[in-house]
Formats: sequence, structure tokens, C-alpha cells
Amino acid sequence: MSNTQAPATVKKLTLVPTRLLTLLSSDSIEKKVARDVAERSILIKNMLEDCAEFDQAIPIPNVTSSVLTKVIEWCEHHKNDPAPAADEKVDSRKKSTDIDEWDQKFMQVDQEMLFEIILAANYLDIKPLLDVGCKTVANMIKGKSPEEIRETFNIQNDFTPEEEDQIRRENQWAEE
Amino acid sequence: MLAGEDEYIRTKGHQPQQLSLINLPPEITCIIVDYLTAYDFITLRLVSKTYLDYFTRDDICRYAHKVYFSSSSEVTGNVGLPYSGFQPRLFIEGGDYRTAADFDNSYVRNQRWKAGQPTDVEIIDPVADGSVGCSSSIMVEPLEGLIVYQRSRGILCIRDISKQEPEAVITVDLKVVLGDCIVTSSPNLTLRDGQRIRMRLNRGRLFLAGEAHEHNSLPPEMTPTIEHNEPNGPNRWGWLWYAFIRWVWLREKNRANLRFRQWTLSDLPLEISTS
Repeated sequence: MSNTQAPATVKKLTLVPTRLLTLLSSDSIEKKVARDVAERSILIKNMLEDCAEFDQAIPIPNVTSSVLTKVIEWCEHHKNDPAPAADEKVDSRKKSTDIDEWDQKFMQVDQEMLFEIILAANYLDIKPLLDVGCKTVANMIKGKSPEEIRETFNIQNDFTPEEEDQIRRENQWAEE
Repeated sequence: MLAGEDEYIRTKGHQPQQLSLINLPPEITCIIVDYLTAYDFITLRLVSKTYLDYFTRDDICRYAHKVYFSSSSEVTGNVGLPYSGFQPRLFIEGGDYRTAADFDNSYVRNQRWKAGQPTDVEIIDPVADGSVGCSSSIMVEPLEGLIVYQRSRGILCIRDISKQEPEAVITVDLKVVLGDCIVTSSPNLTLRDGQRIRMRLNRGRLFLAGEAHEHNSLPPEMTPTIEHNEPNGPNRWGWLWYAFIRWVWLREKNRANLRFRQWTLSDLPLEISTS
């Protein structure tokens, strides 16, 4: 192969049209998405493998359009990431809560949206996104005092002072 | 499927209101638990009443137990010799019946040992009948599940059940915990720097102990003392001691022959907890 042919080959490859799919959110909003992006979802990937042609919009009944938009954004950014091993068993105690910088910014959303993304990732079977979401929540808890956790998650302390004293006494051994 | 998952799906489906950590599907909460520490898990109980209820649930605690204390005897089922607190329900037909209380037990045990404050330690002086002549004597009272310890110099090395690496150990300087040795003048006790008393721990309660012997490097792996005490070797007394303990264990009627001095709280150093 001559040197002059190589660029032409590359150009030809990039011109291959990307197959677009239509996803239909729970609030009936259609989203166009490239097939390779959508296939970050194992649920969608399996659906596509089971059906030769998918001319109609694929319903995603548990995910609203705003959440679906965020999920598609994450899938587009990570579309070239290697797929996680299907039977990956990681030692849970060695799991790191480090999060990629782009993912950290991506997860800077209000808590309702954060939990919605986690639920959507779980439903759509996008394990890496689910892990990033869970790590984000874990990082909001790690090393915090009960009061700090209450503030973070806007939880009212419904213990009476006496009850709180008692719980603290019972959990005195937990004070590190 | 975790308990409660069915209920979650039936009552809330995937459109829960006021999403929070404790009304996510339990399978997701468990992924978050994977990234926390046992201390974080316990702290969550102090957040609110609903959090307290949630993080003392048996199914959630069972998962946390497996994550944080995977090498604990409650999880592995490796309980070794029976002891007074043995709960066969935990291991019936391979089922998993661990409760929140079992998780709490592991947590407390791990915390206390890390702080060098073992529970159920009884110090006797002199040593129990039948152990006279053994220099580094630690006895086991099988019916009460007590450690009976003749104070000595040494460093106790036990496996850290919060770590999965078998080499992860917690070291407890017995001299610091229990005070000066009462037999320092004994010609039989010649512990030098670098020597250790090798022991095996059974849920923080039972020990098999042997003569002090030297290790080239620390931490030592946990292996039965008898491997280092051949009947005709230099630690002959240690081997005999081990044999005596085994004889007591294997012949239940002999346990009644173990007699201990009555002790009071004033016998204990201040830093020892008896709870």
C-alpha cells in the first residue's frame, strides 16, 4: 500500500454513515442517538441484537427526557471506552472512589437528578455510569459526621435530644 | 434479591418521590455501601430514625458484614473450636442467617482489638491448676468463653478481619494492655526483642497459645502453634502445653477440672474493658 492511499482510506472510513436510533422517553420526547452510543446500554444492546430491524422509536418508559439527555451525554463521551468484562468481580474493599475529572463535572447536578441518573443507569444497565453515580453519592458520605450528612442530604434530625444521646451512647464504640 | 426489593418495585416502581439514599432499590444502596467504610456505615445510623431503621436492617447489615468483615468467622463459617457464644443457626445447610447483631459484633470486636482493648480477658494469679510449670501460659475456659491469661511479655498478632489480605494483622502489645509481667523473674521466660507468642484467635474469645518463638520478619502468618513446637524440640514445654489444652477440649468432662481463682474488677488494669 502506498503512502498516498492511506489518508483516503481513513477518510472513507469516517464517512461511513452512523446508524441513528430513536429513543422515546417516559414523557414522550424522542431523542436521536447513534447506535454505538446507545449500545453503551446493555439493555438497548440486547434489544437490538434480538430484533433485526428497529424502525420505530425504542421506548424507555422509566426515564424522563431530561435524565435521558444526561445519560446520552455520558454515553457519547464514553462511547469509545472499553466495555467492562461481563463477569467482572472486583474486590469490593479495593474499590477506589476516585472519579474521572469529566465525570466529576458531569455529576455536578442537583441531588434529585443525581439519583435519577443512578436509577436510569441501573435500568438501562450501564454499569460504568451506575458506578460513577454510586461513587459520587459515597463521596458525599465518606468521613462525614451525622450532622454533615444531614446537611448534605437535607435530612431533618428527628431524634429527640434524649434519643440522640442514647443512640450515641449505644454507638460510642463507633467514635473513631 | 435483597429483602424489600419486591416491596420497593411494587410500591414505588422506578418513580419514587423524594429520592434519597434509603429509598433507592437496595441493590443500588449496596453498591454505595461497597465504597464506604464500616465507620461510615455506622455513622449513617445516627442521621435520622429512618436511617437508623434502614441501616440496622438484617439484609443490609448482612451485606455490609460481607463487604467490611469478609474474613470474619461469621462470614467464612470457620469458627474453629466451639465456644460458649457459638451460634449454629448461622451455618445451617449453607444458609445465611446473619443478623444486624452479628455485624455489630464483628464491628465492635474489630474496633476493640484495634484499640488494644480485648474483651473477656481474665487475669489470674497464680495460673490455673494443671498449668503450673508452663512458662507462657494462656488458658481457655471453654464453658464461659473466657481467655485466662497469665500476664507475660509479648506481642499478640491477630488477623484483622476488616482486611481481606491474609497478612493483615493487628498487633497488641500485651505489656501495654495488661501491665508488667508477673513472671519476669522466671528462668523459663526468656523473651527477647523480636520474639512473639503465637496465638490463634476465635472470634476474639478463644486462643491456642504456645511458647514464645522467634520470627525473622513481621507480621507472622497465622498458623497453629504446634507446627513450631515439636515434641522433642527446644520448645518441648510449649508442645506439652498445647497437648494439654487439646486434651481438655476433646474430653469435655475434663473441663470441670479446670479451676480458676475468683477475681474481682479491682484485679484488672484500668484500661481493660470487661463489657
